Amino acid sequence: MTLSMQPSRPSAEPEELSTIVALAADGDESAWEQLVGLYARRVFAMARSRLHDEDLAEEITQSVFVTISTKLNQSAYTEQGRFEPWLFRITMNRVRDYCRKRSRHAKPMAPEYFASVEGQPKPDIHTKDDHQHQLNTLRLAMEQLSETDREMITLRHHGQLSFKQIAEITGDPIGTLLARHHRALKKLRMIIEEQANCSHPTSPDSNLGETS
Amino acid sequence: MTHDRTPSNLNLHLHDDPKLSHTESILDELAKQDADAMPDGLESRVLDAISQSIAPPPMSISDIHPPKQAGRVWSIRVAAAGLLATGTTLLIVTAQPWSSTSPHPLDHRMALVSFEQDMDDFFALESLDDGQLAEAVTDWEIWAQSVDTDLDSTLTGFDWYESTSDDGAL
Repeated sequence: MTLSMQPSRPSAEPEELSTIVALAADGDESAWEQLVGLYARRVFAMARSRLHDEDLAEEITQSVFVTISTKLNQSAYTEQGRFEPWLFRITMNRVRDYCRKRSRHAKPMAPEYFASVEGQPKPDIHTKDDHQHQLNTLRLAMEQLSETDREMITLRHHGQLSFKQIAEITGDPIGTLLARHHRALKKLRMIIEEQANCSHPTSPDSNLGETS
Repeated sequence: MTHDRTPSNLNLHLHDDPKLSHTESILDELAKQDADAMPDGLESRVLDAISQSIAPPPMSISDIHPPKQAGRVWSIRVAAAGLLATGTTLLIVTAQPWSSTSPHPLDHRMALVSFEQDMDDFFALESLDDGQLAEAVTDWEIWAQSVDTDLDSTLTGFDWYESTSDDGAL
């Protein structure tokens, strides 16, 4: 099992998280700082991955935390160890709302768009930065997944949720989610390999399958 | 590889295929890249937004009102009660509901005089009936029998005419 590229994820033990959430509900500023420190990056990453827009991602991040604070302030959430699924369900719904708004304006997503994403070169297969190329190729490949598969991938990898937590969000059985995840990975792999073969027709195999 | 707190999920994990494991590791790195793109100061802006949503809005001088005094509230209540009582009294006096249900004192006096007159007439009739009325009735019955007897004696031996013709002429 490959455990490289593990994102640094600040985490809190469930009991500690319950305490932080309870303090935040009482308006404790330091508790809110902890919650934002724990989850803002992940919420932002999930929104950015789906919307490819940093301004929108920031807007969504703020909106999600304001919603959380309002609900906690109104005692509309009872802490039962499900804070993370609750937080990312709100995030997912908010991202869906923005996707629907965007789809009404019917703005097609061109590959050139990804070149404009900050810090990313144009997805040129001949780039010398092979690692960045892999990332760009994967980002393009994700756009070809179904909405359901894409949501599951972002919840899993950007939200860093367990399959159990994703099951709580989507209401799907864990077995279904595991199978869906496996199928989505295979599809991503297939798309990447197809693009690699088109780029390097003489190459018998790209190095995407190898761990670096 | 992402964190997964459930051990069963680790057992069920899918990555016997190294290519899929590598794809997943690239996904993790993609997620990290998206997270690293978070602009500076976003966390503080989020905290500002939260504090605005939780904290009450700042109070301006124009919003400051002197506390309501209990005496003023009570004076308003007493005035309202007095107004209600005055209105009710005026309504009752104007409508005079007693005029239709109880007689006027003058009517009382007239009824009493009429009753006394009736009693006087009663006693007068009673004195008239004291033997004299029965005697008058007896005299009348004797006279009626005498008249009947005279009539019978007059009609004895008289042939009554009976018409045989039927021409209808009288």
